Amino acid sequence: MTPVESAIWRTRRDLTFAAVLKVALLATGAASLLLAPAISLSGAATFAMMAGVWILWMALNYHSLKSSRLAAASPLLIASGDYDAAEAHLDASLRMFSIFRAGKLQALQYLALLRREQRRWSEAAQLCRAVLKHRAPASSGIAVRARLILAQSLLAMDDLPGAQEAILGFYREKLGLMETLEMLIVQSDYQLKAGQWHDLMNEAAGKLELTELMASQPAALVQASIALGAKRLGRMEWATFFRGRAELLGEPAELIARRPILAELWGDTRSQEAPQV
Amino acid sequence: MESVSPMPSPFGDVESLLERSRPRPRVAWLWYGAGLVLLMFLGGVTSGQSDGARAMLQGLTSLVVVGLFCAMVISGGVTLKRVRTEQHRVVAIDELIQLRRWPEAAALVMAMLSRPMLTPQARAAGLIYLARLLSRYDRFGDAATMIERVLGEQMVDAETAWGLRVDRAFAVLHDDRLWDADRAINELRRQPWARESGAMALVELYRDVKTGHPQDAIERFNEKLPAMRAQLGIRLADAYALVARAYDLLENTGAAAIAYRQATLLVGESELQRRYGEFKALAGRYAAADRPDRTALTAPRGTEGSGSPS
Repeated sequence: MTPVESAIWRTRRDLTFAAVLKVALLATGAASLLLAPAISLSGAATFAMMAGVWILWMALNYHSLKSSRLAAASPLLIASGDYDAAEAHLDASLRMFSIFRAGKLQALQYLALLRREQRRWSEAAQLCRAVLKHRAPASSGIAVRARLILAQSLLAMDDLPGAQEAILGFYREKLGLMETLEMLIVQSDYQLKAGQWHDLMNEAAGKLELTELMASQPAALVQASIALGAKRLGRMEWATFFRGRAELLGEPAELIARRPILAELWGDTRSQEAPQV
Repeated sequence: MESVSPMPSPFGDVESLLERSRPRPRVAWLWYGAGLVLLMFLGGVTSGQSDGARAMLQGLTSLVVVGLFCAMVISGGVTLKRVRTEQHRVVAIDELIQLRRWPEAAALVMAMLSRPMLTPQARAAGLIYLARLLSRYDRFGDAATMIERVLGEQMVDAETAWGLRVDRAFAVLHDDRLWDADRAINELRRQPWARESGAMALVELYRDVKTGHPQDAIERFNEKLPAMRAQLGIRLADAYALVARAYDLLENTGAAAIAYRQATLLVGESELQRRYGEFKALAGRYAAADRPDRTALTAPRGTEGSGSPS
């Protein structure tokens, strides 16, 4: 298993080296053009220098692309539960030098994703913090996904202030629809753990529409959380409505197993059956 | 988020979009340039011209190299920007479809597919979205044709192809081409995902109801409910409404009423009727689930729970 400290250290080293290398290549290219007349460099020598820079640049690009491709295969492996293969891909990718800043940070973020799936929360959080520290390009979405994993990991470790800080960070990011859905799941989880019932019910109509775009299990979990919020606030009509939807989409016993506080919605029984037709 | 239209279709000749969106082969200007540089370089090295002429040729070669290098950087940047714009457009269409903003999605997909696209992947995604939109506008025949073309040109991976085949089976069922639908379902059954697929169960459930086999539909529903519940998300409402219709056909009004209530708890009555003509027979005969007034969904602020990042 790749030690996270070593992965973070290697990434930092590669990012620094890549930045230096890019500047050096640019400087060599510029020097071969600008200084050639001054030092009476022949056209052939100028051409050779430019060609050398170009060949080196292309070779580095090719090498970096291989590293990015190795990392890119890992989310699918993680999703299919093949953690060993994902680990091997990521380890190989992180060991390879890359001049792509985004590619390197992406590999680190995938490693955080893997650690989250392995329920190694503290390591996942550590990796996400490292990714966020390095400011990935905004268009890559790496920072948003790292922040999501960070919030989820901190919530799993019951670090509510840390999770709150991570969630607040989303308001500085531009979120796509998928990220908005993910954020709603994390946010509801946080509010459930923190007992923020008003906030759970806040803008519930909008949340209801968003849950309709989610897969069954998270949709059930978010709606059960809102139902509990409604119940705690004495809004029984809404509690019944959201609970009814939640129990159609997810098995109440499974929801309770994931969030024990939700037992309050279905009484104390943990073997609640779904409504039968 | 519900909408109940028969909406006017914004699509013209969808077949022509298939051709117009095909990526064009790009002219490799840079290779021509590289060839020119090589020729000039070799010319400079091997010719027996005077020193002045040779120096001039070498200077010219250097200039062309610089120009070529700059052109490569600029052209790479421009291409990358165009590919990214295309990708963003594909993501935007996906989001508009998910948010059920059909007219905007239709306009964007038409604009995107009416000119040559840059990558085959984005084109495949555009054509898949077009097929979904055609289904939404009740042009099921065109939707099925579009899916067949995407599958025929082998533009997608096996898993996406599976999803498309399921969509195609739905489209031909909606189009009342029952023989084609049966063939499509049989083809789906041969796929490795068939047994555990909730979508497959839903399409078979629809076929059973459509062809008047309510008992089969009920048995299938009871057998496949766990898979459908885990995989279909909000489309589970369709399964409940279909089984309500199956009970209704068997005149088991008690069970039909419960199933209809559960379906309408997830999706509004009017939207269900828009999706399946068969459900019009249920409307008014069974009570839909109570949906509290959405406008009253803002909680009055109390003392608890302040300071949350909501």
